Amino acid sequence: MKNNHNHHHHDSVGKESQGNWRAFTDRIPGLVMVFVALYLVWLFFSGHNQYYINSGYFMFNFLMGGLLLLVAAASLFIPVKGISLRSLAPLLVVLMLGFLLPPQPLSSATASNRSVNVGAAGNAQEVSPLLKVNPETLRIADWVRLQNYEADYSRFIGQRVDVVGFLFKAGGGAVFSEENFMVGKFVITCCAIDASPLGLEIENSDLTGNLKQDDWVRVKGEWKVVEKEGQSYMVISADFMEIVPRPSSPYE
Amino acid sequence: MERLQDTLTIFLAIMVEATPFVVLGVLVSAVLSAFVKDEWLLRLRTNNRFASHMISACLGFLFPVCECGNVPVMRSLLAKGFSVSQAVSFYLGAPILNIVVIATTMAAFEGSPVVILGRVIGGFVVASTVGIILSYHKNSNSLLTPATIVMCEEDHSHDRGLKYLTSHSFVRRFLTEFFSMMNLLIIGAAIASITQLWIPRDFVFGLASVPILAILSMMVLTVILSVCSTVDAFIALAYSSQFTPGALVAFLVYGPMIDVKAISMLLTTFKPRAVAYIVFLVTMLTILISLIVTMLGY
Repeated sequence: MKNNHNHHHHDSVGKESQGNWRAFTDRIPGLVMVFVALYLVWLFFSGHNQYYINSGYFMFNFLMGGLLLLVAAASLFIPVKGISLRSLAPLLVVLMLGFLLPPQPLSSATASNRSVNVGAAGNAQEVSPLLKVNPETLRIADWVRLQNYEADYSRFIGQRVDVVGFLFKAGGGAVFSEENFMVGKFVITCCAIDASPLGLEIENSDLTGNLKQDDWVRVKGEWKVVEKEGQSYMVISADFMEIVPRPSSPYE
Repeated sequence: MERLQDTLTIFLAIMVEATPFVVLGVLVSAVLSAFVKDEWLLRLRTNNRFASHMISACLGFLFPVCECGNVPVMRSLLAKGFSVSQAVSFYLGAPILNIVVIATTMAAFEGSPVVILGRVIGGFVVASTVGIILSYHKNSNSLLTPATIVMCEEDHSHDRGLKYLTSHSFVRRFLTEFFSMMNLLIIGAAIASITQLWIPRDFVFGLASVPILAILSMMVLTVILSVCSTVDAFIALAYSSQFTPGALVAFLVYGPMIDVKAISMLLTTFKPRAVAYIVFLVTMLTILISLIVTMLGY
């Protein structure tokens, strides 16, 4: 009798733990969704969003992350059967990549694989204020706009330039593409997928002798105009280059 | 090393940009499917051959389903008494002509209205034209599989398509759609980010510089990727610096209508011969529209 009772007891524990296990596995999809939502929210608060998307989407991403968190939390109380756990594996891998690896902005590898400086030509409205300010306050994107807008580069000769960007070697379209660095920044309109590199050429980029691609630098110098195959190019004749920490917002 | 790191950054950028739109798309479709009543759809039917197919192509504004979810909706429209050709117009049009997809396309291609318009107008033209052509078929029910015909006859007046929004059905629907869309998005984002950094620039530019090659390669790519139309604009964006708007329009119009997954789902409803006919018409019309966009000089 006692034996029998024990046996019975053991059996029900087994069923119960099996039931507990089910109850757990049915909640795994919801749990994965909680982590997806937390990833979106974490990107917002950590500022890592800006390595991936244009700041115009920060708030939208945060709100959708919050909504997802609500649904995911609700799904922990309403377990859904029939979602295969194997189908969650790809998403788990992505979450690990996103959470565990240090986020990095795009680098020279992308800059060299895309056409540099193809950004829309500046229009008069955008450009004319740029002509009135102290040239040393202009950023890389401003200079690219000016170059695209002004046909006659001679007015820039001798003007001072003082910009911060990263160093890369252009894949093509630059006068000194082989031997010299460009100093550049990416401009993103939607997200890093459409990043297009803006770059300014430096004539004597080995000024300090120990700079390499992807170093963030501050470059000071003077503009000069170089003729090559009937075309004129604006290049910086640098007199000061120094490594600086990567700015907190890496794109324009 | 930098190249590997950039591949990861672009991959995560697609995921981070697209995931909130997946959430929005699943939410909107779950909520609307609970509130839009089927009788409204029947009231929208007209006897005018042209108008009725144009309206069917635009029903996605009421049922914002991407191609993952619209075969079941198409089957329920057939059961409600829609003609075969109208159902096809709905099936082809809905994944493009709906609010969420238009919003993501506008987000991705903010600076190039020709891509946005090309997708919307092209999708509308293809979806309604294929339906109108099919409507001249003498016995269009013969295009359906026998099982579908039985379903339509049994189901004619029932209100089975109308689902009430219970918390359980909502959560269930949300999770199922969310995970199936995310898995396809992950594959698409992986391929897009890898081709961005590991295929030599000159090869891609060579392909992109011949219009018809560019269009065909974008169509093959979109069939392979099978990314949900809600977020495929962000994948297309990865190719926007090399490919012409015409080729991008081919990607954005063809992808939602034809891919491996959609074809296998279509075969549950249509006979193989009919599916082949639909695929052929869509392919030809997409090429035509993309060539027109290319020739307009964009």
